[in-house]
Amino acid sequence: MTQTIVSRRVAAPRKIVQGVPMPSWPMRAFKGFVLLVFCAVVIVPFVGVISTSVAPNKQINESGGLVLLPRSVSFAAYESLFAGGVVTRALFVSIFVTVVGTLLSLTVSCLLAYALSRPGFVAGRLILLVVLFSMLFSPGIIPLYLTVKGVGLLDSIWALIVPTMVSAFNVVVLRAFFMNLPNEITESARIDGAGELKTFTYIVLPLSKAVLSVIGLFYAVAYWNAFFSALLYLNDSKLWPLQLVLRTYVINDAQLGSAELGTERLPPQASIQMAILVISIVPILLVYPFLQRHFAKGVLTGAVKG
Amino acid sequence: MLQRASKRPQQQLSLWRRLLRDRVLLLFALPGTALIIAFHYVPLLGNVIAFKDYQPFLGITGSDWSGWENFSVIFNGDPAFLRALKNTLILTSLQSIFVFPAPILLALLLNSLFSERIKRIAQSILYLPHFMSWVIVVALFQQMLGGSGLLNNYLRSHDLATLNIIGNSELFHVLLTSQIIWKDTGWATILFLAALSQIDSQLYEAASVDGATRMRQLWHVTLPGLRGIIILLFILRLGDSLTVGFEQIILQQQAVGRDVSEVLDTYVYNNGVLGGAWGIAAAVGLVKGIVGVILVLTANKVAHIFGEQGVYSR
Amino acid sequence: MPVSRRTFLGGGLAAAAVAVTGTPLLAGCGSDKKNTAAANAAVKLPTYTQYGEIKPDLPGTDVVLDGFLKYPANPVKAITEAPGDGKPITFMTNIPGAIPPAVDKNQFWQELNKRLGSELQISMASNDEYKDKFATRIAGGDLPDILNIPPDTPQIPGLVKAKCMDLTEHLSGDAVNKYPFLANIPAEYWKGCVFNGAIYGVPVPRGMSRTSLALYREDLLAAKGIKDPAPKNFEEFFDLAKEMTAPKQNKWAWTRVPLSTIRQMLGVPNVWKEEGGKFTANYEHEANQEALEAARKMVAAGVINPDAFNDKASARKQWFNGGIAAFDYDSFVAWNQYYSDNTAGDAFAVNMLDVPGFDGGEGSPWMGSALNNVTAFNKNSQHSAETLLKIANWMAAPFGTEEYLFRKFGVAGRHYTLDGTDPVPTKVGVVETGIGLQYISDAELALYWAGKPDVPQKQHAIQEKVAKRLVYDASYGLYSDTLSKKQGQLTKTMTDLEGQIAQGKKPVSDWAAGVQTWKSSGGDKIRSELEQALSDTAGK
Repeated sequence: MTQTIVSRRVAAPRKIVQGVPMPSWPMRAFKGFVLLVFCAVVIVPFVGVISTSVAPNKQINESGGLVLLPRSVSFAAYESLFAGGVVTRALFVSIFVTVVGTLLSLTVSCLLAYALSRPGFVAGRLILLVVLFSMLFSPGIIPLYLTVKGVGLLDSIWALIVPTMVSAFNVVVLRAFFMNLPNEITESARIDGAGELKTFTYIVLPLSKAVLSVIGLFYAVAYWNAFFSALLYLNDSKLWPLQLVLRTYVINDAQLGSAELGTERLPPQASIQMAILVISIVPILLVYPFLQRHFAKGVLTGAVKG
Repeated sequence: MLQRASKRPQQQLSLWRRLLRDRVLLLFALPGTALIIAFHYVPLLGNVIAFKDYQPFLGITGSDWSGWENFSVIFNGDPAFLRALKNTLILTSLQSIFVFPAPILLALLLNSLFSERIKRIAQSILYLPHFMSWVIVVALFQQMLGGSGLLNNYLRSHDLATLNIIGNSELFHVLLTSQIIWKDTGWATILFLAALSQIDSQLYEAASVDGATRMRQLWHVTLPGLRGIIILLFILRLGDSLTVGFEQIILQQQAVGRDVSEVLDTYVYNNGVLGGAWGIAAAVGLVKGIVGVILVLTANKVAHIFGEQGVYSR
Repeated sequence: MPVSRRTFLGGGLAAAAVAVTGTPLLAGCGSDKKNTAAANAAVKLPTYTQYGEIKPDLPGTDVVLDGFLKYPANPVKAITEAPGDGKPITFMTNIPGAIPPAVDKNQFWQELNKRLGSELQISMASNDEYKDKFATRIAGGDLPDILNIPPDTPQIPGLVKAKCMDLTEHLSGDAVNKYPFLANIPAEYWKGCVFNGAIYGVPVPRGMSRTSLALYREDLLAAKGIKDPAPKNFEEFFDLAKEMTAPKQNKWAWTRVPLSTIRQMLGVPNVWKEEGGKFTANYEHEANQEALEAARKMVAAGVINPDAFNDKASARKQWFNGGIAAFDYDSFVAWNQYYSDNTAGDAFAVNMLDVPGFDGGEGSPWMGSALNNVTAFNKNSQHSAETLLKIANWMAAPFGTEEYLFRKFGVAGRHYTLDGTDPVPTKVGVVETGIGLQYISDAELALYWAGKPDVPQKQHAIQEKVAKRLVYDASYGLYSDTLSKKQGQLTKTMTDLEGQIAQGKKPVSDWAAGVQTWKSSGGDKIRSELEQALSDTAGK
């Protein structure tokens, strides 16, 4: 009879790639080399970023803004960023928005994508076109502001979540992945009398861990990095998310004199800019490894055979 | 491979009956669709300002109609506009040829690594630049490759000729494309890696039992497994093809001059938004959207001809 | 006669300002008047009454700013009653630096609210994003009580007419005496607040503090044996730059191409020049070719930092502070900022070069732009104009008063410590005080730097030197519709061309064609509108 479909990792031995004898040494060396070059090109500037964030101000100015090897380590930039509690509070706001937002977004998007992936869904074509074309035309910031105002979300933290809860791109991708699942699985579930909800929850979702992780990550990063909507919709800076607060530390003006700082004496721009970058990346660095394992191969293996 | 969805037996049900039958699915689709309509289509109505001389203090209804005037900037052959269009097309071609395939190749490379741990570490490193804002990326490139940057300082102090990279107008398009590759390739591989993980590994085993080399496995198992998602993403990218970047370009426009750096979005900014001409920005946005629609529909049709699902099918 | 701030357009205008009699303006019917220059000229500007209680160590004139070697010992408490009416007042502004802690965690803000007698709620945005926020708030219709309007906002007359309070009856002529610190702002700055034949806002003055000249690292030049540099012509100026250039040690003399300095040497006008009713723009001046050629020479000689054209203020700051560059072109405000960011230690010293003539003689430096912004009040505000003006008045208390000390530095002990009589900000002080009060209103900048009396001395000296030769922008105070709509993009196009020519990527001969395009894309229209505006006022 029906067996519960469970995703099993194929017990593939680690060192053998796809059942084929390992590639020749030159090939492995070449691949390794290419990979090393890519990683180096990324890592070196990043080391510079971290170094600059802890380097002494004097050294930063003397080397024109980027330091690879700091003469001494000082956390003044980080201290100055966290002084006054503004950044700390913003951090909590961002965490809240990201966690709640991602959960809501995933739920709504998966439901929509699933519905759109079912063949013969009466409104499927229409809704898909609605979703698709929303990607091609973007509303202006002023009409969007008026809409958000109209639904009463101004000055509420939900203004950071609700308007951007659904990303058409993510829905289309989810739909494609759902449609890619072998039909036999869903068919056999239907034959066994499972309704749409059951099929969705117990069959489709467990098999889609990879794409769910990816899309979840996409949403999470989008929420984490968002700043512009907070700028427009939130007048009270108490509710500002991390990225918006951090942006205010970076002066991009071409005119130095227009800064009119008066008494303010901040540590030089570069170390603060780099510290900001480090702070905003750390949470992603912490979360990503947990999601990585869901990209593992073989999620679908054996599922069809049952 | 995207499998053809099996259609339910074609009964001649009335619309009402079909709605009733699919009521659960309709419920599923409701929140997402409502949100898109509320926060995307409703504000799109505001694009009517493309036909108006919009002033924020007068409001949308209070502003005067200006007919097609805002669109004239596109159609009157303004050489600055044509130059912007040309640069946009050049950049979008470069991006389609180099930026789009890069993550696919990288994903394939990562996928074929023999050590899971190395694969994961490499992935974690490679996506880091994605989180840097363009302000920082441009600053980093400048500090490494600029005229007074690390590379040139090193060359100069060793009496070698310096390389003019950052301010070089001829290299600018290449520079822009390289920056995008550097910044986003690692991140973009995530989606392809997920797609690769969906490929049934029994297919690989079957192929190797049949005596296929790694190369042939790549051609007959891996690539076909990715084909659907690649086509989907490419068509979506086409819809956006007139958008080639804004912040990245505006930050570097001053050095290389407008001739090589002006694209549609910066043109609209420099000639419209700066003077508070919101109507022009809306007009160009509308035109870009219409072009995008045409491209997507056409590309989707072409995909159908080749037997692919594309973004949506009949 | 010496050009003074008050008799700006050659003496005729201010003297001819017609006193407003009768009721039309007083009844707030200013909204019925069109924004003609005639109507604007007819408005009687607030009478300037200098606040005499503070005696500067380095007295200024109409042009030169007052200088102080140290903060006065017992600051005058100038305002006795709290200006607020007890209800919260809202304000929207840009903030040049980091967002300060919100009021519940900000002792400076709490103390401010106590002193004001009303809670001040401030909605902030960083400089880059302020324009977008501003536009959306206006479009959304929910404006704060007090509004920071940047001077390059398009269509200001229409905007203020639709949304802001007409303040003429409260400020015109002697009515301003109720607000002594607003009266302390010279009439020149008020001119930029007149639209539609009425006074619509309070100025945030900048003027001389924004005047920009060549700044140089005194200590670096002294180390090379150059003391009191004073190049007498362009060649010497160029030689000075070559002296300070050493590419192998990563040193280039200039952080940016000093095209403005060269233009000043050649007598190119400050944006617009007016002579006999005719306007000429800086771009049209015949000396531009020579200026661009000179700039090109400097770039070719390698005295400009190779990354200068990326034009990022933060990069320039780093180069100048780090000794990678010895010269920068910027204002007196930037001068102060360099001191505040300096990392080179006590030896760090900055000074400014006067502008010589190109072939000798004296150059014509440009006066900085008059206003940072106009502060207007929401027409639909729950507060009376008097209350809001009292708040603005409070914000304009000048240097030397106790209010100024609090406003800029905070509460003694927590936000600053006294070194003698000079306030030295603490870390907490820096973080908590930056809430943007300087954009509600302000007094003119006072030359002063805590603990370094030589800074205001040097600044005062150079200001005195250039004061008589300053050239003003003739378009200030005159409204041109096309200018408001197109100034940004036209200027950007020309700046782009200048950059390309200076770098040698385009020949100097391309300039003439660029000017032609500028003329036909709006330059000529702006000119005719300015001339029309001027002739309208001349009749009065």
